[in-house]
Amino acid sequence: MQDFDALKKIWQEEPGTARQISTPAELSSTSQRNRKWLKNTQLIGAIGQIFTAAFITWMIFYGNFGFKYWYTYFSMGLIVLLSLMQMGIMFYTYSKINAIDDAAAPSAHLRQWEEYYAMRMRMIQFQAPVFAILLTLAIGIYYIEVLSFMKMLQASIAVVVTAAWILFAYFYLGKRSIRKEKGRLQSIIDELKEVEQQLTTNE
Amino acid sequence: MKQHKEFTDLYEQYAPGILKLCMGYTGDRTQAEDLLQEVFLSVWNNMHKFRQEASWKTWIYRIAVNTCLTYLRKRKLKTVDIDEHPVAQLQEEKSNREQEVQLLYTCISKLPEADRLLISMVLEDQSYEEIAAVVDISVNNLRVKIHRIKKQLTEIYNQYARL
Repeated sequence: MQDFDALKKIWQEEPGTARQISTPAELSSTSQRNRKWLKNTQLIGAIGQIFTAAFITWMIFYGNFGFKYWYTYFSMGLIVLLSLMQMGIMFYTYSKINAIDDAAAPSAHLRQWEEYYAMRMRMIQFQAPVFAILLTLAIGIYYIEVLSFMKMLQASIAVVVTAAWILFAYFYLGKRSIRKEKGRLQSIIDELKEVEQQLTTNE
Repeated sequence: MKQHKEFTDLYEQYAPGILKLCMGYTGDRTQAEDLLQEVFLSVWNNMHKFRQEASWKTWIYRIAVNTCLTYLRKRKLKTVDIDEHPVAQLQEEKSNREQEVQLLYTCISKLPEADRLLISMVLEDQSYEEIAAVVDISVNNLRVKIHRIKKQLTEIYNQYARL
């Protein structure tokens, strides 16, 4: 039968040998992969969106498509706008992760993460429908002129296939992945709240 | 260069204690080492923000506590189940002392997350004032919590030491 002092003795006799390092660069890059990964995902995604927007803009001006109607170019511009919106959201998310203070009091630190995940939750609820609507609108406008060169049957097939894909992507794939992501975020928020409560409850 | 030197001095001084804190939190050496690296990467990245409002020790332990508590959601910790890893089996593998230490870490990792960190700092002989400053709760509240956690840990340890 051991009392607490005996446990303390066991603990203190263990030296806790940590790997020696002579420079911070020796700290393994495999660690901090989670926060770093969260940040990098947003940063790389945002840079990708800049390239997409730049490429489509270049196509509008130098692509020599020879479209007759201004609204066809407008639809391409709408896709550029979508890319830029996505980029803005990603940079904003990146800055939010960056702003989390690792040296804050634990309950405040946990609350910052809770707020970040709550923000992600609000974003995915808003982002998916807005993007689906704008993308459908852009493709719809683009098709008016592009499909006018096709025969009725070919044009109908193109419209049906595109519409089916958008509906499938939004109502099946999108909803399913949003549901899964919301479940994941909610469980993280619940865990953080639980730990925060452990710290803040008065006994 | 001066910052490098300061950092390695801090690492040398506090890494052993932080590693033990992480061992108590995870009950697993590999995960604890991973956490230790994460803590000191964060220390390195935030050193320029240190304002000497607290001591280096309080500041580093606060980062360690935050890193451990948020590590929870990143990877659901796989604490070693003592029932699946009985003392008899450990006996063949390790010396008596190592076996006791491992059992203690494993028992700590059975406590609720925040309690693991509080008790690890008590075992490390930090004063209640220091611990209260790290976790930002009142000393009185901390005292009551520690009393309960000590009792709980001793019970768990004795329960499994008998196996």
